[in-house]
Amino acid sequence: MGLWTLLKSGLVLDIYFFKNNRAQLVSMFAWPYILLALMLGMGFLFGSAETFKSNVGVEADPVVFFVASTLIAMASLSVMWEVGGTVLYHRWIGTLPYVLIAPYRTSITLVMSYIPRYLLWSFMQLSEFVPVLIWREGLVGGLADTLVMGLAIVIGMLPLLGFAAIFGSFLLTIKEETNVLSWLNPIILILSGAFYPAYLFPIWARFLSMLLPTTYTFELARLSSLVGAPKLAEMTFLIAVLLGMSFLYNALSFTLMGKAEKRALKSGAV
Amino acid sequence: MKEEVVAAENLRKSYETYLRRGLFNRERKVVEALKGVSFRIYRGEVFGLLGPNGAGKTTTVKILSTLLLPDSGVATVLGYDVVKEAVEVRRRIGVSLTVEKGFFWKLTGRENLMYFGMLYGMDGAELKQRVQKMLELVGLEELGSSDKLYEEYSLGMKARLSIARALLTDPELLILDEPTLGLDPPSARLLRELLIKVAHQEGKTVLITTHNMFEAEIMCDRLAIINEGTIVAMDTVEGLKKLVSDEITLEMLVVLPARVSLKQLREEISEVVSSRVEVDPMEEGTRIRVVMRPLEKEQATQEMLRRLHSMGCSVRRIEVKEPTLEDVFIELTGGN
Amino acid sequence: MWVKVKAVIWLHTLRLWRYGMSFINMILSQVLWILLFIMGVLLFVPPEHLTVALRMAYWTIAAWSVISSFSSLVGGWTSFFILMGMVEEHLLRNTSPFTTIIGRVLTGTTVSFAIMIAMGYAFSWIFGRVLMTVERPPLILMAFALLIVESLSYALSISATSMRTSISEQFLEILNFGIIGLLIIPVSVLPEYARLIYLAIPYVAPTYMIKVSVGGESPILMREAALISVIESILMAFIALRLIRSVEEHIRRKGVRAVGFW
Ligand SMILES: Nc1ncnc2c1ncn2[C@@H]1O[C@H](COP(=O)(O)OP(=O)(O)OP(=O)(O)O)[C@@H](O)[C@H]1O
Ligand SMILES: [Mg+2]
Repeated sequence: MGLWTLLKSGLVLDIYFFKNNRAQLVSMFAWPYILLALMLGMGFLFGSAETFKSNVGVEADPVVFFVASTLIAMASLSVMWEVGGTVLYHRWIGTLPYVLIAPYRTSITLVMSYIPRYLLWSFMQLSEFVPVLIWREGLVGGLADTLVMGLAIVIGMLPLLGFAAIFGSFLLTIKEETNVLSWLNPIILILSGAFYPAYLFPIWARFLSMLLPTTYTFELARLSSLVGAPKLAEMTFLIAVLLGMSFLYNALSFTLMGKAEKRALKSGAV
Repeated sequence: MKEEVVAAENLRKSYETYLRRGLFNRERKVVEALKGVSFRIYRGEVFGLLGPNGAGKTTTVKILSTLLLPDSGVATVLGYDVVKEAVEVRRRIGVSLTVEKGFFWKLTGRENLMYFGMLYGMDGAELKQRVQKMLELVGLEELGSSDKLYEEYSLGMKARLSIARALLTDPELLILDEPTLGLDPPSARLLRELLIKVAHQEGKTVLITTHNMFEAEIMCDRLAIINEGTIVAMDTVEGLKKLVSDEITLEMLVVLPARVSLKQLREEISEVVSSRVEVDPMEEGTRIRVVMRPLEKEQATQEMLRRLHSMGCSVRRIEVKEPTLEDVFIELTGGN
Repeated sequence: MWVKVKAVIWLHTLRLWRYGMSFINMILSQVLWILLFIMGVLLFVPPEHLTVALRMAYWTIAAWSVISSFSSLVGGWTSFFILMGMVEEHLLRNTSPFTTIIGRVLTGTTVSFAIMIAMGYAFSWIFGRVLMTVERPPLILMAFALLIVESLSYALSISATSMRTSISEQFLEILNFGIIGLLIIPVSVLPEYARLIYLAIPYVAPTYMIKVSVGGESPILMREAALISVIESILMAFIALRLIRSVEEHIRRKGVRAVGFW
């Protein structure tokens, strides 16, 4: 009952926001394409698809590869900002105290009011790429790719919610107002191999990337870019890892957020 | 002959706005903020502009401080036209538009004053001294806040800094839009005393806008009440009160000695004042109620007390009921 | 007049210092985002072309960082400036608010050059290539100066217009980012007839000069590029000044509160 209200309130808030902010709406749709176009444009200017395949080490279509990468990067950033960053946001606009004294646990409030929005926007961005996917892989292949990416969007969200909430609780305890996420986010994306597969990294970086849930989400989404290889085994493996991580990170975030809240209220960091 | 510092003649100003309802529905609307406002302010005077929200106070203030052009009408400040000779006007006035905006957050109060001082062309030791003096004058120095970042200031400190900036160049005319908004009583009092001193002792002229009746009453030599873009009354506080009601009610509670009857009492008092006298016995004593004209107030009251005394009555309580400025305000602006 | 200039310089230096942490934050994050992006591009590049590609990318992005820093630090700052009630406070002191806004050149230049240097070191360290060498130092200084004039004029025009109408900053951001794609194109890949047209696009000519001065492109169109960028800079500055004038008029007529941008 209560959770449902939270879900709904998140969506309503969002619709209001975009109603008054149509520019934001347009930019939401334009960004992924611009990023993709720039990356591919520069890539083909300085090199070729052949080099790409040999660098990546698998038979993959670069366009589909980067569609998947862009999509997951956008979705992950959104989670990091909205769940991890809301603390900052509420602190800036002065509503943090009200969030903290709301009747639900802060982590639940943050997460529940956010999920519908995440799904809405991620799937809208996915659907704007469907024509590209069909162009690359034909109708059946394109739709199969869409399905894989959609799956990655949904399953990848689960561990990331907990992961981002852990960041949120960290931000809650420090009294800092500067925007640490603005440089933490690209680091996380770089380490999880957003545009440059993590398995090409030096060993220490690869170790760090193994701990990040996003690494597996990128891998999962990019399975769609492989040309004609059997994917089911890998897919099951990645999904299993992501689900395991969901459990781990969410449990961790739940305890950490509770502690952080208490500490924040005590130290006046709100 | 009193010297005119501000002369506003038939100022008019309309704003064009759009009412927004829903996504695409925009409705053009013209708001007449000033509908022909005229007044004069003389040297050494504290002049108050009093009016409800949206009456046009800020609009008037902005026109006088050259920030807004009137649609028609003329205003001069210290003999300079606010439209044509804006540069000269700006050199000679000190303005505070809002108490909590218009400063850089990451600069201290002192640094902010230094910056704005430099924009006036002040510099070096002269500027430093002047800034220091202003900080002391408004009490920021005493609060130990001169060198705190502006973002750490409380509302009262911000207001003080705003006044300090207005006074920085030692201007001949101060224009202050709601200077005491949000101040605690001691700060507000300090500020009021400061402004009165500046006007009455140093011969500066002060124009303030306010909602605060108490403040208007004790500070302003003259007041204009503005409502919906028109000045509905302009006078001294006393004069304004007379507009609403020409009567003062005096109520006394006295204890009569046994030998004095109510009738005797009434006759005795009626000799003193021209109008009606009511005498009613109450539980704790006898209540006398007299309605007087303002002119008779002092003499009549003294005479009455003298007579009561000689009759052997003891006075328990005296209460004078005059119309307050608030009564005037509400009556004139049609507030409910 | 001199005191006013001094005041503005003093103000911006002090603020740069006080906001130090946020600027460092901003520089760091910009460099990291660029790194993330470049890594994707490099997947396409064969090892033997890596140095050339990196150099081109580096200097193009360096030019872009000037453009984007100015548009956010000068253009974007304007809305803050208005919100803070600063327009009135400056007018009251017979000072154009744009004096102070133009003063942000100081901030913009500092930040964009810091980004450039940090990025140069980061790339050199990660990819093991030398990127920050210049063949013709006077030329590159001139090119950057022209680029700064153009970016500043653009930023001022935007902030002037945003005081009158409502242009959303989001569009500007996208536009800004898209410009990289435009700037990176080497003149040599274009057909003859399109080259001059390409150079005539704002920012392109100075960027071409930068690329030439680091040996990234052949100097065949140097003279044309220099001429175009000088004329363009003057023109853009002129437009910016006209817009500023008209906005100052507008503000006095309609009041700053009528300055609607949301
Ligand atoms: N820039 C503007 N654009 C449109 N309308 C405006 C503008 N400034 C003021 N108004 C309108 O003009 C009228 C007078 O406003 P003004 O700010 O002068 O009132 P005020 O007496 O200062 O009120 P308050 O006591 O609330 O400060 C109001 O109806 C207001 O909505
Ligand atoms: Mg007002």
